[in-house]
Amino acid sequence: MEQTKKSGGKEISRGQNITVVVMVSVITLLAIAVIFMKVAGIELYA
Amino acid sequence: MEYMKTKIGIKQVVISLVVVTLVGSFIVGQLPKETRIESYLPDNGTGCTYDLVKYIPPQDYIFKSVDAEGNVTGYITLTEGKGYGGILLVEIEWTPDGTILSISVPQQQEGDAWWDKLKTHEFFEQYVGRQFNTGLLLGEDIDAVSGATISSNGVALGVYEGRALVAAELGEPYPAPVETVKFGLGEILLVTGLLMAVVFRTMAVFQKRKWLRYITLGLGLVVLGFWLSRPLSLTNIAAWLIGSPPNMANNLFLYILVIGVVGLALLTGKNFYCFWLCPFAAVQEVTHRIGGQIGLRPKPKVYRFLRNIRYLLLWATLVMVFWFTNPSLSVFEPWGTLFSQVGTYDQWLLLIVTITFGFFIFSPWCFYLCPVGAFMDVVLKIRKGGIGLWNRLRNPAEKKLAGDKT
Repeated sequence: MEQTKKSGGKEISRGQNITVVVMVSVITLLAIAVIFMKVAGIELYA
Repeated sequence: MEYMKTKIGIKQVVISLVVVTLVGSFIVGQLPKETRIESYLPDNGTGCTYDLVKYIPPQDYIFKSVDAEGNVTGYITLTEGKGYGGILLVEIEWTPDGTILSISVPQQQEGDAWWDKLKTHEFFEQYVGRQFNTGLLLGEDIDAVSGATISSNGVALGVYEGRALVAAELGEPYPAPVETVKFGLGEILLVTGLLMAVVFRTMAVFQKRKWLRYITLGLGLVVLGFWLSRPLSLTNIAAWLIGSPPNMANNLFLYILVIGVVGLALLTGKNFYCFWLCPFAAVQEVTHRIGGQIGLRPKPKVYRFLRNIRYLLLWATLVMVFWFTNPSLSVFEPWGTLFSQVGTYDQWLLLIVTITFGFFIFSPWCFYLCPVGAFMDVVLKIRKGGIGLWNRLRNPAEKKLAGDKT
């Protein structure tokens, strides 16, 4: 939250925008995969 | 004549759908399940029959197995324990003189990784061969598995109940030990951390000193993270929501954590956990600094959109938890893997990716994915809405004023 406040008015490059979207999407997909594996009872042990 | 206009936008539709699906899945989860307790009784292949001797609601049973001649060949107890993920059912096979032949847990929601710890550390084997009137006390006669102490304790609680039933049947009463609430160093440090966060955030003298936050974050990282491995998880909240909170005597820490954080939010309108005590927030602050404080951030519109992922994850997991009445389904957060070093491949991958991306994005998990943060935001929104409604009801003139403004 502090971060966004600080960023107020600052130019944000398109590359940054895309990078964040891609990174957050990857983590989201992984999180969904983990939830799905739990619900389906699939276990891959390390 | 003035008509009341109600605007129904996409937001209202989405919120209604969320509420309906959550309530619906909760109702489905609460419907009586067709699991006959007899189905858990072992097939001994000797032609013995099982007779129910005693049933203590909600879920404590003792059966005796009887052979063709009517001789008692043993006992089976099925009793309830309370672990990390709520209620678990402990099944013990006893000889006629009250010696444990085998112990199993046909129903549990502890999370596979933790459960496997009990198995690999041969936790259950410790019970086999012990008699009901000898020591069965966890921590004295039976060793808890470190890193899975709440689950160990959950099983032990079930064993105490089973032993009490067998002992009563054998005419040598042995009631379950009276549990005393344990208030130790962990609880003291947690209360200290919460109080420090409250003082630092609310007292004007401290508010300007931003670095004070690092003290509580450091305490969170060391105590809630590396030492106890018990950060606030959606599982803890979910267990309460489905009405199966952990055993209080052994889990006062979780009671203080959940009730303290949610209660303080309701009282003060502030979240004293996220960015203040959360050990995973601390880890992400560290990666942010090591990574040269790159802290990529998207455009405000995209940022606001991405923030909603937290609500999506919160909703999805709560629907699953309610439907299957299984709080352990919400154990997907990466900190569980980090602090307990227990996890499946997919959980490790999620942890590594989150930490790696934390070098580039400031606290990616906290800002865009954390369901606990989303839950706390919902609590704060409900509080705000509740106060607003209360004020409008008490003073209808304000309602008109507010209406005029919009």
